[in-house]
Amino acid sequence: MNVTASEFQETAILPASPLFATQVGILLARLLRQLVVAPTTYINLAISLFFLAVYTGAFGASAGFEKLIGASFLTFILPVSIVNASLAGSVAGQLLVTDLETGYLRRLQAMPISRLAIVLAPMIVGAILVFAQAALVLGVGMALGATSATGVPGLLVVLGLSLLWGMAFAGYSVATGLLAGNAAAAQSATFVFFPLVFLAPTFMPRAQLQGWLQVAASLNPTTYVLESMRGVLIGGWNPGQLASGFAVIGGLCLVSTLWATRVARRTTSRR
Amino acid sequence: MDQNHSPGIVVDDLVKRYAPDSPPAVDGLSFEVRPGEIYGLLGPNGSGKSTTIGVLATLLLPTSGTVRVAGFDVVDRAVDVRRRIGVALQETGVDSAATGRDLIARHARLLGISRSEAGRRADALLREFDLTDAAEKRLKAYSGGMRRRLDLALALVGRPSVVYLDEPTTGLDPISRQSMWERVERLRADGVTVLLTTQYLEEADALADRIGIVAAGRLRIEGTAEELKRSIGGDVLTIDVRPDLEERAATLLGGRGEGRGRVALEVRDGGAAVPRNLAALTAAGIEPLSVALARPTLDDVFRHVVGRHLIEKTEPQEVAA
Repeated sequence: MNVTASEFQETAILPASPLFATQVGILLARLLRQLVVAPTTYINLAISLFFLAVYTGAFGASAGFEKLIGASFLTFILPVSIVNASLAGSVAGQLLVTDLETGYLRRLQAMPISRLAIVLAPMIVGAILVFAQAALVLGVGMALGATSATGVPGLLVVLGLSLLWGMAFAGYSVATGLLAGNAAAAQSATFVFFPLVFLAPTFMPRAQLQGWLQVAASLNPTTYVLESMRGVLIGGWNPGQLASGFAVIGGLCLVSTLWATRVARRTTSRR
Repeated sequence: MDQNHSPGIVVDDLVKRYAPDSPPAVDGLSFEVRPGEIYGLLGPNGSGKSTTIGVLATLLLPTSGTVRVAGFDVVDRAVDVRRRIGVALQETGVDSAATGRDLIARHARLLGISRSEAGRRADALLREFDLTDAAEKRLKAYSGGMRRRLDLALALVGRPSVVYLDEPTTGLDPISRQSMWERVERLRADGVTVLLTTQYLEEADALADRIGIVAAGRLRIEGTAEELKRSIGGDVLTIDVRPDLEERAATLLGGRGEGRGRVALEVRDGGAAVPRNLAALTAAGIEPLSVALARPTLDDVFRHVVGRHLIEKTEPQEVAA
């Protein structure tokens, strides 16, 4: 459409809309500030460290088991705590749904900013939180004596896997939270994590699992995340194992993000 | 100026259905708000006011009809509309974890205003709305009145040419309400076009240059407050009778029962109407308990237009000049 002279004159005195990246940045800063002061941010981290301590204390004394897995039990169990810390990604859904509940989302929708920026900001916040928490748990684990057979590059791989896992949870929480329409639902949707952990080789290698549990574990994406992380921490570089881990979690992340985007677009679009 | 690019608000035959087979929430609504005018949109709950504002604020898509705000179509040029409007809707919330100053400054930044200018505007608006002392407090500590003032401050931070105020004084004490009225009056002085919805008819009477009353999604009557009051007749005669005789008395006099034995009717010549109607009641064996004569208020206009019962049955009236 051509711009008329009167429109042009009016536009000239209005500030230009901020760039997409600036919009995301402003919204991101707001959400990060919220998270820093929210006690719930630290609860998930504390739970991850608590589980690390409990698992190590309860199962770590068995020298026979450590011989079986070829590493300290702490190193073996560390990925479980990291995966647990990655649940922090679900904060994305909670933040977005809280804005929906309070009506703040509606206020943003009436502003000249991108709808995608409104949805993307909490998802990036979820990813940042996942990365920070996973890094902290990994750091604590290493300080307590966990080892990495592949050195620092292996630790970065672990962080990369946890980031993808957290992003997958962020997308899942955004989609389920927006579909349910309340923050409590977004939070409770993360309970799906617990059966996923217990139907995986969490406490012993997959080969040691029996019967249906082994079948369930082979169908469970958590298995491939844990095994990939353990692979680089304990066994060394195994391209095949890493590829399957990244493929599974990458695919899950992609599906989850697409689902979240689709639901978010429907929620924020004009009808 | 070309109608298509005139500022202000032009709503033409707006229809909005939330689902294809649902009844329309807005059903052929047309009205125009002139540049710099304060227009009061009144109507009972469910009359379509909020839906209309939702469309005007580019939050909802119209099913049919056209809506132009500040010269731009709300469907095709939504972003242009959003850059020119300020919105203080009841159902829009704030970020309770933020401070008042942060919220206003962030709002300004999202509108493309520089960081330093955003800070200056936030301080100026906080001062203007008596919120300076609470500037660094989190919004969860704000009272309802403070939040309404902050709502209006947020709506004005981009210096919009069109502002929507959805029941801006609901829940405010009389002093805060008066203060809000003064601020809205200043918008008029600044040449801002204002669309105001309110459940306080005296508010519309005091603030609005023109008033439109909607019912069942359609504009039923429109004009200045004085025009509307004149449109329903001269004076309002109110006669109290025994409650069990109210319906009979209302039918006899051609008025309307208002409950508890009160009958109200609009009369052209109050002086002559009093003895005539009292005589008619007495002749029918109904004893008048008290009588009052008053000029019509917007309340009377509202009741007259909307009716005491379901408004869907109301036929459109001729619009006042």
